[in-house]
Amino acid sequence: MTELRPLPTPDPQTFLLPARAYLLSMRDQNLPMRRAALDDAEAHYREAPQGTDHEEQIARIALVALVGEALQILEDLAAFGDSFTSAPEGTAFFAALTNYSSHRISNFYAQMRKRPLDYYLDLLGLRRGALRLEEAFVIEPPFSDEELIAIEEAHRATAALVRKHLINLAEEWRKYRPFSNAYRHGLLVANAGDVTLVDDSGVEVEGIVVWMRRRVSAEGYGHIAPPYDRMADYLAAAGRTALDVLEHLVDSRLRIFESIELRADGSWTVKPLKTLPWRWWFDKKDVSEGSLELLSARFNMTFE
Amino acid sequence: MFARLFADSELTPALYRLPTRQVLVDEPGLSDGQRQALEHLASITLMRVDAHLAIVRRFWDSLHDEAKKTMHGLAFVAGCHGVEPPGAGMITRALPRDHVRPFAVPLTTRVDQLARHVNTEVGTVALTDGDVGRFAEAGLAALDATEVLVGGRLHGLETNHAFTVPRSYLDQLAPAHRAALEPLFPQ
Repeated sequence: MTELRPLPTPDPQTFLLPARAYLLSMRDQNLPMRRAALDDAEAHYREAPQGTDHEEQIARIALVALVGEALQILEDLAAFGDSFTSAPEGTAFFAALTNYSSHRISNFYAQMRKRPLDYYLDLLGLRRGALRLEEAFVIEPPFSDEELIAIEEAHRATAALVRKHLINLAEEWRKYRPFSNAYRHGLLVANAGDVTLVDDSGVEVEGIVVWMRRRVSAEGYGHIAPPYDRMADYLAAAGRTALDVLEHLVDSRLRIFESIELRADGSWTVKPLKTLPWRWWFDKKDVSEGSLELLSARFNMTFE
Repeated sequence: MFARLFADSELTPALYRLPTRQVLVDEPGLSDGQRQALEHLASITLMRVDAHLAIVRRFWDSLHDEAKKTMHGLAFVAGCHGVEPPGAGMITRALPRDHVRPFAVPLTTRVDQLARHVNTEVGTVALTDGDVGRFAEAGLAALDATEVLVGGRLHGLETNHAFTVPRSYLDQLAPAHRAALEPLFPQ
């Protein structure tokens, strides 16, 4: 695959060059920074002594900080994903990303379950409307019908996995967002001795409580129950899943830039492709054996 | 809040519940030496708090918009991707040519729905070791100022006092004043 079909190209100065720079910044700077922050927050919790009541409270605050760092990545992911559909007309995706809206993230996650699979194919850059990514390239030798079906199957399996992760992350966002807000806005973690947490039937339960912001009176929120070490495992894993999804989205969008040599004046030429212009990420069970064999043979790749 | 604190000289001592001279005069059970020492300690505390707040305010005024961006979607391009070929198109055109590296490029897009106009502002945040050191210094200053505020308020609540003088800067008093306050601040 060494040629792009003649398709309308966005203005390089407004779209292509800034988008490439932004995506490279995400890959090289922003995502490693988030991973380091998550690792740091998790290590801080793990290393917190818990011998006295005071130390236990400090450890609980460290756990809330871990929630904050994990949900920070969920917010990055939602802001990035949303930007591809909400950018004002005539502007690149990062225009939406850099135009803060307080409801954007919750709206993004609230829609995950309702979105059709086609939405996720668009989100991954595997197609643009009716145009499939593989149709944008001149392929020699051309794909057979069976290979095109296998590619479509792998694309859809990738979209399905990303959809599954985003639906799960939407639930984490809903449940733990008040903890994240408490972390960001003054570490508003209630002292265990100052509050009593009860379940829906009024029975006292143990758990971490944070103070809600912008309430008429003092109002607590609790959804983190012991054992806290297991919660730390769970929350760190959610943050890392969000990072994996975000990295995959960034990498998927960057792949297309590897097919062209962009110059500062906006001119560009096609480069020989060293990798596929897309990246698959799926559960093997979601793609048929026959398709996996076809793809392995055509692209000289193995599936783990 | 910072603007208000620096516009009204009485606001910071009121926020920190530091006693005025008249409050100390009216407080029963103190010797003249203790009143004078407490007045000095309150003055030192206020000077130190003001110094911390000045550092924090400078940092807040210059970078609070950028700090928000670190929490809401990471609207930054790495400086190297803005200035190294092939650059970042319209973002590169808005950057100074000789910015000291490393730096980050914060982006702020404003949409005017009525005029159907979109404008993306391009800024720079210097990230040299010296700059990062100043970020950390401002963070520590905020911590110190908060510690004095929380400590004073908490002690006032626990002892049912309207005013408190924290012991934080006791070591900066003259020896005679420190000695006068020993009974009030037992080790």
